[in-house]
Amino acid sequence: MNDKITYSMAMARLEEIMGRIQGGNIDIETLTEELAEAQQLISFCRNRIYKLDEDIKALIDGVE
Amino acid sequence: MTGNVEPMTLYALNSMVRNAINGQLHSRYWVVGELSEVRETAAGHCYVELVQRDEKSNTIVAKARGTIWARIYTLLRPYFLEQTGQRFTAGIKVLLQVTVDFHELYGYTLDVCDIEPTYTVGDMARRRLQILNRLEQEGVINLNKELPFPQLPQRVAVISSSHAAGYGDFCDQLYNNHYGFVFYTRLFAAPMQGEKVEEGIIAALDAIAQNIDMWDVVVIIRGGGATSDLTCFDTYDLANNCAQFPLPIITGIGHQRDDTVLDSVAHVRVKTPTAAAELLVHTVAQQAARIDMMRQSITDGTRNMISAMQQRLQSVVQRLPVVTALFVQRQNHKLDLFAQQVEAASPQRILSMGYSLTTCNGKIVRSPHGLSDGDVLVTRLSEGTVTSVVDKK
Repeated sequence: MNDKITYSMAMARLEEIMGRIQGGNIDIETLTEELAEAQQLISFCRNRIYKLDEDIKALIDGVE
Repeated sequence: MTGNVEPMTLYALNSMVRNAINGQLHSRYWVVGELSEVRETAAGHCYVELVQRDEKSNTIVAKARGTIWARIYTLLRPYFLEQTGQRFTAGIKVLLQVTVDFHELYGYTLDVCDIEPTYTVGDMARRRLQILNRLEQEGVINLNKELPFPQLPQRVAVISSSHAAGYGDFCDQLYNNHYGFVFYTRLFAAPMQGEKVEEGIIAALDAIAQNIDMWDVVVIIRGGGATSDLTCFDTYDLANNCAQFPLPIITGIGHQRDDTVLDSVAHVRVKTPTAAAELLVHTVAQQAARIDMMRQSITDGTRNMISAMQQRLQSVVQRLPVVTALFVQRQNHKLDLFAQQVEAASPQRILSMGYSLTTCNGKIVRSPHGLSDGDVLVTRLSEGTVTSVVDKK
């Protein structure tokens, strides 16, 4: 996956994949591939949020 | 020159004057005048000089000496101070009740028996008003009030007399504030009563102005109760200097009656030095509260944002398998449908219904025409095939 992808790009891509599966606009051949990409995007987003949460806690605790 | 008339003694003449005066002017009179001199004796008597000035030229047009005997003066002095907030001193206008006296040796004097302080109060108010009007006409009266009050008034230049109780109260209140805020103060000593007040405060202001960037605010304070001499704060030069001073001035000169002119031009007036300190502490506390509030809302806002992001992601995580399963299920369903349609069209199903399929030489027979005797027909039935020969007889 591209290193320079942002959180909002990742979310947009995730929702696009889901939308296509939901709408049935996807080839069976690529379904597995796209599901694998979706899993990757999900863990990327999760890490991003977790890291953000930690960074913010550190910042706020630093002020107090 | 005197002829044969025997000259009078001075005493005899003065006696005549005395008799004439005392015979004619024997009641008590209320008289208005300005005190041009006030002298207290060790015995507790008070000698005054009363003058009247011409309103336009200000030159003295009448003058009289007066005496306030100790038994009256001991009562009159504190009463006057309490009622007017003004010492009984030279330069003020008074309304006195007097009897007229003439003495062979001491001449013409007035014996003071009573005083009407409200006259002096009114006169002082008139003078204050004159000063205020002048400051207004000159456009300076609101200059100090229009300065922005500092958000953190922590560097405080204090004008007070060093030994006054008010200064101690102020510092106590400021340094022992329960928030633990830090204040930096410096005393610019000036007399807070008497003739030197105006000069002293103006000199202190000049000293503060030397390092104006060091200070956030100026506080002019003094202790003292309701009965103290306040006219020294009612001068034009003092008010003019304060009004035009480039830092906001807080006054807390400890009195209950009407504002002095100094109070009127100051940025804020409070009653006591303690109240002045409270005002500074309160102002800093407000800022601290604002910072706390902002910090709280930033913290809350960030937490809400993260939580919204988590929810959005969580919804994707939950929906993705459901959506995928649904997709696969739909594909299966489609295939099932096709299978059914294919099955419905299969020949085996038609044969089982009793129909049969006949061929001749590998071609499907749809009509008897074209068949000849001896042709061999193969008929496919639901269960197996049968062979027959054509006999057209």
